[in-house]
Amino acid sequence: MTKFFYLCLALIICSVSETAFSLADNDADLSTAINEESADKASETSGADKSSKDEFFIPPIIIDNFDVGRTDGIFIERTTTLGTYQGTWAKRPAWSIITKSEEHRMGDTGYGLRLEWKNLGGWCGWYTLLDGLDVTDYNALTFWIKGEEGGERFDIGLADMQMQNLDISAKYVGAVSFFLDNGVTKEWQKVKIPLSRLGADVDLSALGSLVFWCRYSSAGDSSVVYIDDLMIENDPDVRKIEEYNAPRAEFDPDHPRTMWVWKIDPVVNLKAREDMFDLSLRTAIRTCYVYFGDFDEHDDPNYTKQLEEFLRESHEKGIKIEILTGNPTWAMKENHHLAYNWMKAFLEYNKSRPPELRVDGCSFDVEPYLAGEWNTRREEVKAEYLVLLASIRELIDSYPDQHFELGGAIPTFYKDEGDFEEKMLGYLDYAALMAYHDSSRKIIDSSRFHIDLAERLGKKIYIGVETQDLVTMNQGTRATTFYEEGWEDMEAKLKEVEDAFRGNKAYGGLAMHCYYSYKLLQRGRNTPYKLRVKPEELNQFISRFQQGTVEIDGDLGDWIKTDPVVLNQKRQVVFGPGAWNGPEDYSITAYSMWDLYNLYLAFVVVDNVLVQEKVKQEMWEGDHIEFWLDVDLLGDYNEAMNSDDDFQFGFAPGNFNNIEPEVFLFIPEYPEHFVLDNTEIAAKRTDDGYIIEVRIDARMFRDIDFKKVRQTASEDKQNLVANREIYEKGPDAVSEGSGRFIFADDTRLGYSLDGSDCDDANAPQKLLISTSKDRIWGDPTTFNAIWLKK
Amino acid sequence: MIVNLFFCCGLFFSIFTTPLIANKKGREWHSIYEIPPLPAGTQLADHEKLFAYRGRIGFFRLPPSVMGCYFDSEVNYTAEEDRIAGEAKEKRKSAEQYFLENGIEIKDKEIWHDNESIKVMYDYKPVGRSFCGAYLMFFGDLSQYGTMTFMIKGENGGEQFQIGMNDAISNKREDAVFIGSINRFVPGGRVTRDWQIVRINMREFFGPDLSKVMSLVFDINEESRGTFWIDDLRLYKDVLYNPIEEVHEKGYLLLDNFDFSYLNLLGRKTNTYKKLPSVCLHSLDDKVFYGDSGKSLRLDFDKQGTGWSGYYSMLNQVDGEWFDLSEFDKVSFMVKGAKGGENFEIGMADKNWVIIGDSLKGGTIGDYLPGGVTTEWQEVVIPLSNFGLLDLTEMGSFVINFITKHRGTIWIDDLKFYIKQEQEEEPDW
Repeated sequence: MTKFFYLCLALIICSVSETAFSLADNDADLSTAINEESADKASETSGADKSSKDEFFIPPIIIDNFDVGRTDGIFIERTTTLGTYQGTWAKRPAWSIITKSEEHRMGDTGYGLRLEWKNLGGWCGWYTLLDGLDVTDYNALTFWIKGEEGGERFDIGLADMQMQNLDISAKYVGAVSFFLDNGVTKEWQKVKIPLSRLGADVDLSALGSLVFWCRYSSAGDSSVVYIDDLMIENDPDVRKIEEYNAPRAEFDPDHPRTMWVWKIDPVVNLKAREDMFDLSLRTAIRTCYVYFGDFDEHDDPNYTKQLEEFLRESHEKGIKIEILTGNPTWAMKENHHLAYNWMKAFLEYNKSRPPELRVDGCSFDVEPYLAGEWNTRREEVKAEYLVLLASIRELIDSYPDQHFELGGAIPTFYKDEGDFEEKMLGYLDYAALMAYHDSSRKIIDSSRFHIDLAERLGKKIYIGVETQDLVTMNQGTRATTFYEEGWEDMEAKLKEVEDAFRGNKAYGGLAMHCYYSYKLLQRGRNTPYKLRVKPEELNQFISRFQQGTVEIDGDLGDWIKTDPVVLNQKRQVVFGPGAWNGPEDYSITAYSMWDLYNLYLAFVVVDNVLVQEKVKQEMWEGDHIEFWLDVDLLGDYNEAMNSDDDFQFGFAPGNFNNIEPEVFLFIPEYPEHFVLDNTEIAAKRTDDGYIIEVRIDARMFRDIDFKKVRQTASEDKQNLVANREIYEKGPDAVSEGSGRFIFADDTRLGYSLDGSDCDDANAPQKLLISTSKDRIWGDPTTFNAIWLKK
Repeated sequence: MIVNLFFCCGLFFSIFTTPLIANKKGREWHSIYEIPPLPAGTQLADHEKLFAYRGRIGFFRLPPSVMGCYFDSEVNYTAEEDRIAGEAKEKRKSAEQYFLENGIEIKDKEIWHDNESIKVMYDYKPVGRSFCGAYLMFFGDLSQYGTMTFMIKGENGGEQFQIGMNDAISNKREDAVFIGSINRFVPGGRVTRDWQIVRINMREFFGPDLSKVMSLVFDINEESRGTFWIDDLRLYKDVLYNPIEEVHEKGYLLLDNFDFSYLNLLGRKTNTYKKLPSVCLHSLDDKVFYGDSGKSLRLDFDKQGTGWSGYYSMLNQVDGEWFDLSEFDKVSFMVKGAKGGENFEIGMADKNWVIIGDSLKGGTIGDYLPGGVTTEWQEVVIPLSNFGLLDLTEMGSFVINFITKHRGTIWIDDLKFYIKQEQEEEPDW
């Protein structure tokens, strides 16, 4: 038993955001929608480009082949090949343990490292010290990895010696899955991490430590991976991989994009500056909102000179720089002087300098609703904030010789705050709208009001989108960031947004939040993985082939009712089990049938109290059935996050009075008429409840791009027919061009049947009874299977 | 009618709220040889299977620090009466009985007998990565217990170490879960030459799996040389220690006097934060302190035009329950600077602000010290209401945040939160 405490302090908390990077597996055409010229220009200036052929002859540095040193002794006994030390750290209840394995190793001799962890709160991970290792002649950190089950995931970080000595957290490089085509599998794979990703943040001439943050737990008791041959190398593939994955966007000169830049200092840190320019030019960004703290041009002449150089260089590259800061409490009058003085310092700086050395404006990120006072004296806070904006407007106007844009970040819900936003815009030149959604329709819908308002006022709106890992940060949901979608999918959606507003005078462009996460945003999807039993081992809801005509009338006389799914057990109540009073209270017997062009569903519901007074998306407040359908089951079999092939339907019986039975599609977002055109529903009252009968036309799924969804499990492991094969080889051999998806024999679709009972209109969703015992909303890996059989 | 708000407010936090058993008689306690075994199926490493057994003591060290411990029959705690229950001392299960009942060979094992104490000797020299400490193996299930007690005395008094615990997981790693200085748990806040009782609420051990406890750890965490003895270790099912009584008695919660370790006196984490090029380093300074003895918190900072730097002391456990400060209305601390004129903000963060990653500032030090920080100790008292709208029922941390570009050194001591004293008339309606 030993102790090791203080060395861990530098390693235990990572405050940086998590972002993504991946070796995407699809061959997109790089020549389209790319500002190639800018990209090439940027890469030429990159000091991290080590792709020259000669350099690849430098022999690698072996940090650890894990053949020497112990794992259970004190740190001086846990030596590495490099002569440094390795170990684990943990804040309980999380834990991580290392051992060495002779069975799981690369090569014929020696050992591999076995890293096991479980994270239920706190933190844990593994580290190896690098003791000032100079890697400036190399371009990649590499190691081999395999998982005990596959799908294991951890985050990787690096710290330099200064950070190590000052107890500064290591810098996040990416999740291990970013660097592997299909994530960690049960086979050995080589991970190649480009060192250039950290060139601006970490001193590569003196590395301090490498850390694996074990933040994610797999299903089961713990996660186990095996690591071997940890090295620093010069790898010719790495440069290409970086280039391939670097975010890109099409430049629209009429609507250049903007970007929030937090956490880096491009004034002092030249590599950070270079990286910021690189990303901006690649991604059509022409204004950066750069964070600045307190500033006085006379405080530090050297810093002021660096600021001048930064601004000159920015302007030479066609990039405007606006100062960025903000604190919710600045809205309150007692703090107005802080904001005022901060702003004035930059206006004074501008005053004596030519335009090319000036700051171009200010992005004022004061969000008063984050302060507690927003809830207790909102109107006063709003009024005080407007007074602040008025004084700042007056301040800016008192410097008539300089053009200084004043912008402010606003949330979409300001439209519900009376004339507050209108009054704000009265003082601003533009607003950056935080329309943080990951669907184009939601971004467009939530922006419309603000664009219209700005148009009326002659102002501009920049539509902001989010790329941070908000889920891990506890600051949002997956639906509020493109972190999981990756930049390629994000661009497709943003194009729709741009198309929707391009003709509008008030539309300024898109605003990307924010630099450090956008820079590392991976090209393809970045979703959490979960292990599942094989598709044939899921509970099967057998759907019988129906050759005849089925009339959707609530009468099941024309149904084949041989294989029902029954929900009538307390263990099936996944929400509100204490409120369930037995099968007479609420229970469901469900049936399914199919033909080539339709999927039929019938639900015989026993419900002692029928309550449904709401329609459309509010139907969840009354009795209804939530029905998930994962159409491309194998396409994303292990992805624990819904994608475009996952449909969440709501089937409501109505109230058998003035509210009709209704189908509503919660996700994905399709036009209402499309859903209505391709679904049919009827309901019939019974003595003890009601029957819902539904038809879903195969055309409902015609827009699913099956090939776009990554296959995460090899076919020999998931030995079933993928839906895409049915799409291609269906009984009627329907061609792709027909646009008609069809159902076929022996197909499995993912599904979850969730019956929602309501007995009181004022108390929605008394309970939820489900076919998915581990049901998690939006997690298709908790679903079971509908099996289409002839 | 006069209502004392004191009694109307919510309780502090979980450790404080566990109900005490008022009845002093009949408290059930177990000796180390009477606690249940590890649950079946507990995974043990090969070396644990070979060497781990209940009652074993040992030490760890990296030179030049020196460490030693053994069972000492010369020094033994004896009491005529049961020290807690006021009853005659009971005859407990002996070590021999335990090993016999469990079919464990005693031969070649050093075991802790009733007439022996554990003697721990140390000479800790914090050179390089040197460390030292001792441990006592439980090898059992402590999940049913509310309080651990043992007796302690020092050779000279003032002996200092921190308490930790290893479960079956952390025992395979390097570090135990530490809960702070021994001084947190002795009545006078200091080990003396006389036997004193150490009382530890088992919920202090936040994190370890108490059903799979391997050992209790005595980690020497400051440069010193000394000897102390441990004896009469007991595990009570009841919670015998309620810190709220002491807080109410004093009228304040002493979050940290910075005398002992980098865990504060709630056993919570403290640390600095920094974003380069701004930096802040902290240390416990035994050359500078407020009062007659002890140490203070020394903060060496270099606040640049960019980046940020500061210090925080947590009120909640990481990923644990938030701390209820609603009974308190003021925070106070002592401060002095190396040169005078050092400038910083004082912040507090509730759950909301912890998630945001910032704190609400109650102003700068100049708002509370009209002459600013000087080279003499000054007391700073800040009403919690000055921090704006915090949810005092779910508090996270206290923050010192350096502002304006400058570098320097300050010392902080005796960080306290005061209980509301005012009484309030209940409105007629």
